[in-house]
Amino acid sequence: MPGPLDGIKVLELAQIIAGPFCGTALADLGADVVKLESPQGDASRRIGQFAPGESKAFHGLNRGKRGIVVDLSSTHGQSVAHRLIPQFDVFVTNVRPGVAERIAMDYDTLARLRSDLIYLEVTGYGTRGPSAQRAGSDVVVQAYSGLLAGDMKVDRRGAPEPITASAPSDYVAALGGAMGVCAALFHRQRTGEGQCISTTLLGAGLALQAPWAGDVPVSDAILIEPLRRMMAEMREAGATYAELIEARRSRPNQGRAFRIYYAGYPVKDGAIILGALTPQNRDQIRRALDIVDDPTDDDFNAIGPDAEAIVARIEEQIRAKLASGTMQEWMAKLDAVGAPASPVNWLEDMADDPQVAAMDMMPTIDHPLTGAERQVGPLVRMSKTTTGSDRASPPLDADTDAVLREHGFSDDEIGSLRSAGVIGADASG
Amino acid sequence: MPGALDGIKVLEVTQIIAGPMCGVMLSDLGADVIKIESAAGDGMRLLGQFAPHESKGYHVFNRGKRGIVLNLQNADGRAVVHRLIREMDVFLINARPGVPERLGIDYDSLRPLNPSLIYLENTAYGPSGPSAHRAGADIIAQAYSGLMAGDEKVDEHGGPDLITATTPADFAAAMTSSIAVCAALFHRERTGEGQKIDTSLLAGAMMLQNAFASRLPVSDAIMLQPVLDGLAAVRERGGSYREMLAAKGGIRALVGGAFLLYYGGYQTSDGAIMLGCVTPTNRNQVRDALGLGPDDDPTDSGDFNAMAEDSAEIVARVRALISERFAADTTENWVAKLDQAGAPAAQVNMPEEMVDDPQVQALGIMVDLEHPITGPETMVGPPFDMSATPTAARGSSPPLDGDTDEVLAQYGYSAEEIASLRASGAVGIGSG
Repeated sequence: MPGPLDGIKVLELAQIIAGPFCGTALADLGADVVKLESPQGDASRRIGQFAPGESKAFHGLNRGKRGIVVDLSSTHGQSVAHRLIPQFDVFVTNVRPGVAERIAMDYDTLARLRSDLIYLEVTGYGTRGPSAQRAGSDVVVQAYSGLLAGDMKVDRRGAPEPITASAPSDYVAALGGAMGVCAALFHRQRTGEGQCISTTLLGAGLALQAPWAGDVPVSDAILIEPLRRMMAEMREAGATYAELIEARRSRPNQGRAFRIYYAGYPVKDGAIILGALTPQNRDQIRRALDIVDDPTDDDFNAIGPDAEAIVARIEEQIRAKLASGTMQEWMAKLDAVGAPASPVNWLEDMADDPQVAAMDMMPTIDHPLTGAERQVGPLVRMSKTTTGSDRASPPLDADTDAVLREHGFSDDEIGSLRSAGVIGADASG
Repeated sequence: MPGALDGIKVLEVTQIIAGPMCGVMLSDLGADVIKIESAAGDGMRLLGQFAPHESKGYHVFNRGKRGIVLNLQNADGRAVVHRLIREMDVFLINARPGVPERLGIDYDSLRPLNPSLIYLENTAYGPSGPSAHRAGADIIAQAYSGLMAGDEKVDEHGGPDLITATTPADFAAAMTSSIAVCAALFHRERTGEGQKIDTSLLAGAMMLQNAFASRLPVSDAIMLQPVLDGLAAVRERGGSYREMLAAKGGIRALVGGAFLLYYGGYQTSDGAIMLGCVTPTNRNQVRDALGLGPDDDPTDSGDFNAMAEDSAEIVARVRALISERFAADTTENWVAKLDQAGAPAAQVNMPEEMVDDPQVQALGIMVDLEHPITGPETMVGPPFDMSATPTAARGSSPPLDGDTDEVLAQYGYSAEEIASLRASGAVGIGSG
């Protein structure tokens, strides 16, 4: 079965995560994705490099594509790209605002070459507004969007810590972009019309915090307004980041009782996570743990005067219980009552996890330079259109000649572009 | 201009975040989304409830939809779904595997009624495999997938500390679901064929780590195998989570230490700043702004070896130097200097204050809505713009049972039929 985007051709001018991962998501849906790199290559080739120009991150974020090298800093290189564009359905880029115009790869220029082109731009802060021209990367936009402070983590030097080892704003922007491209293909199929799609790391960061970033005055008057006032006063008085976070952490919190059963605890030989969302889930956990005197569910006033002491007492009971047994014992009991719980697994073990294996989430693919590897596969499975690809990430410059030939360049033209340094990798790099 | 999914009709039986958020995304793209709830309502209505059945979380994850209440345990309630489904393009469900079958709303039951239906099922662990039937939630997928331990965060009791500021697995699953629905609509437009789509929180969480999760023997022999060996040794002797993290952490700190100098947070004289450098060019921009020369920081020079014995010491020395510089001036001044240099850096904002941020306002990310019960509200709008088919928030979240009568009437139910369905408890919240 072909993928849902079978026959759709995507040209990607992108690096690091947000743009490249969008390309991978489209490739997983069956699109033919050609990645256009500068002679030095995507910078993520050098983050944790284990062979020249090859890193685990680049492999994970660029599988399923073919790779070409064109020097877009020269007008000659730009004309190569301009000759390719009419044969492509989609263009994906995550260059900083202004750069696309400078290298003649902006929407207006490319839409003149192919009027129904679907053009996706991913930027840090967007294409307008006071921060549009600022440099952005995932962790910076985590900070700007409130995600970092919202996670309330402080490192041992009193500085903020990223919310996670992953890059949430990048991934959500990439996925938003892929969604926009698919919706735009649907629209083009119905109307013949192409368009420009803009997605930002900032919008992604806010979407990830939608429940907290919003303003609902009726609700905020009680919980959020006092917090805003407190933060403003503390800042006025010169409070440090660590002090601000401590104040946030210790404020009256409606969610504290909820968090007893939605939290991690140590067990004898590792750590376990409870993930109760409903009163039924909490009852299941209480049954598994034999906790009989917990008043936090019925008509419990989570911001009442005794709430903190009651919550602390129950939390301590749960902690002591779980610490007295092993992972296997507790997981068997929790699974038996149907409670949501999981061992805290190690990513390094996940390639061999039986559930991951059963769902074939990490297929083996073969990289032309570095051999067989197992990668996180497609995000979704579809019953009528295959997802996934058995192509690894492209070595730098691997497909330049083949792609140009396929799109109407003669061998002579390719030879002379190569000797002029317009296409092909930087030999010194 | 209409949205890209203008005219597309979506019926959802979802709750909490992953399923509902997918519905919001499709609604932002222009689809007409109808949410089916039980008489008790989506569990999210009760999390942080500020008016009966109304919570901020529910408002956010259900804006732009109409809401109807059906009792799917009741044969008449089920029959309503079977009648509506004929006129729908997309059906979304996030329930435990087995539940759709029990309620008669699984793909095999609905497909004969509408062969070109696009049916999306999101579960915690996926539809098959040893964990398929286990209960799940975002935090469970964080733990199970390795995301939590990968963060190497541990609380004061030695337990794992979760990613709290958001629900990454839920969002990843919601977004991949929406992508798949759009791709399936495109496929249906070209071929007329509908299909079933499966997504899971586990696959979503794995995706967020795809750069680290892979197995790549050439690289792993050097970088990963020692970690796995260390972890196995701690497990062998029944060690704690904290000990496992310590065993695992060493090599990451060593290899990533120099990178994290310029990809992490520092205190300033009046707050905190975050650096996000991913290239040597970015790091040079920061060094220039801080007034650090190649002698102060050798970590980007060709002969710096992150695996060498003295590398941790060098990194610590550079970190002290950078910390000292940042501590000497205000966040505002440092951000201005780093902007000037073109380096990625930002002040650390608080989420509750983002509504008023000038950049957020310039982009129009927040949208003003009016909820029929709780009044005006400002919500995070669609996370992307489209030039020909604009994305837009189509309205607030529905009150429980807010649109049942209207939707049933739209799909051909007479007033008498609706009244009798209501009387029998097949639709609506009844008198309770």
